[in-house]
Amino acid sequence: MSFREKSAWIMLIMIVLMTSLWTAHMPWWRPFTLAPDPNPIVFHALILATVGFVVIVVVAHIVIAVLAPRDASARADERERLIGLKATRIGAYVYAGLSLSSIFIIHLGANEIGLAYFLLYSFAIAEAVNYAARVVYYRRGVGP
Amino acid sequence: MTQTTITNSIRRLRFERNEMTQQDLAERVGVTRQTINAIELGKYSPSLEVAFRIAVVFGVRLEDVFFYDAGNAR
Repeated sequence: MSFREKSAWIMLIMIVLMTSLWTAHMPWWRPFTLAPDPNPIVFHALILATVGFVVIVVVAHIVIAVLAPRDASARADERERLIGLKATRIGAYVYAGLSLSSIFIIHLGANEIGLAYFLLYSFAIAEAVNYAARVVYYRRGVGP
Repeated sequence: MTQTTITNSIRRLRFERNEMTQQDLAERVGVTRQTINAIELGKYSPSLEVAFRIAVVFGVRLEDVFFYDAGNAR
């Protein structure tokens, strides 16, 4: 498994894990409502999740780079660049679709906080899809 | 699995060249070992430039390395 494939796995697992943990810190009803309260505990959980995410991702990348230093320092070749481009495109479609659908969320009665949560989840979902697509392309192969 | 309509004889050519490893070939071509493996398994069709570089490493013509299967072309 190449350094970049391992990196994609790390990002996918961490995005899913951190989003899930942060969601779990909310009162049980918050993820299911469109207008959550501006609770400082939820905000602190978001900050902790973000800082924890960055720290764990950096440490994990240092570990896999130490285990395969030559692989880690090599430039991405044409296949890896193609996989990156294709997966990013899929993630961008997801993000665009979810972001545009935020208009409907407002019409359903969400306030600005609900909208902010929705956009944040949209970003997390889009990035998860992006890295999941990379993993699939690395495993199954990538066509033109 | 994503399969291309282009097949190749890289594995045989490696074997005939003193069992050259995928890593050796990858370093000489300038791609990762995983990319050489993906090309061998038909999971990835390389660019024309990389295809030529592979042929140059083996000292053969491009058409001795890669074969286009027109019957399976979409």
